[in-house]
Amino acid sequence: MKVLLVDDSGVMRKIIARALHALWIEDVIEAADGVEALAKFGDDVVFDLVLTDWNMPNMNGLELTTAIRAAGHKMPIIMVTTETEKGQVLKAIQAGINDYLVKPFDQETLMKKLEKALPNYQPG
Amino acid sequence: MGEVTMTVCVDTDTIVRDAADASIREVFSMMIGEAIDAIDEPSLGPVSTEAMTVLLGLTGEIQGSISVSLGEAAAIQWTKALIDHETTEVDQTVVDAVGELGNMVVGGAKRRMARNGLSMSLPTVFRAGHGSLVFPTHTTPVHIHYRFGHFVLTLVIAMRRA
Repeated sequence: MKVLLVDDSGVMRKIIARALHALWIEDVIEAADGVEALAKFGDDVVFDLVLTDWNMPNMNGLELTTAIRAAGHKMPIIMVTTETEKGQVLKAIQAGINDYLVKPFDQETLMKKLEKALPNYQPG
Repeated sequence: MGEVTMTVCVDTDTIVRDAADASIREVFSMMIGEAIDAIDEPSLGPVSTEAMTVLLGLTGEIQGSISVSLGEAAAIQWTKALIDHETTEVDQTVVDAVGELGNMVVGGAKRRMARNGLSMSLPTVFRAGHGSLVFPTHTTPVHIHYRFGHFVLTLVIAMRRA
């Protein structure tokens, strides 16, 4: 399984990557903003899941989600953020996210989100 | 029987304090699996200039700032617990980890005060303790101290109704 992890915080990327590794997801590609994330897509690169922060420089998570969906990619996108204001959540859903992971989160919550987004995902 | 309407008034200070307290406890519990305990003001030992503070501003129906201050050793320990980063001094990773601490604490507090339509700033981390924070007139800061392992950290809440 290949996951694209997008966050301008190196610390948060490390936190999430470690959590994914603990759930046996080893192939994690990282990007520091939406522009860098889009550059990771290619003809021979297929992501099973995108985890993205909301507030990032250059291209934020909302803009990234819009761009990913506009390009025709249908993989699940989970927004990882502290933002939970209803209007903002609605905007994110309309842009095309599949779910939200609110910071702070624990391993169990992340696993439940993965299981919901990826029905064929089997930890271990 | 006629309808009875009851209005419960909770003052702003209590709302913000409870939100921030619940949030900081949640961050430590969920991110590093540690419970933190509120304590009385710690007895002052030798004044240490080795401290860090992360501060975020909030605007909306309530406005002001919330900050978290901790000693350098506590910041290094927080970073180690969070991402297993080994260092004996405050490097950029420690600064970033303290920034994330503030981001999550204030984000969680904001979430608990959603009815107040709040916006949050980006975190600012500086190398000074909460004793260095000074506030303008009409802003009365509230200090809450917590024990985290062998360390103490301080939440400073300076908020008021707009």
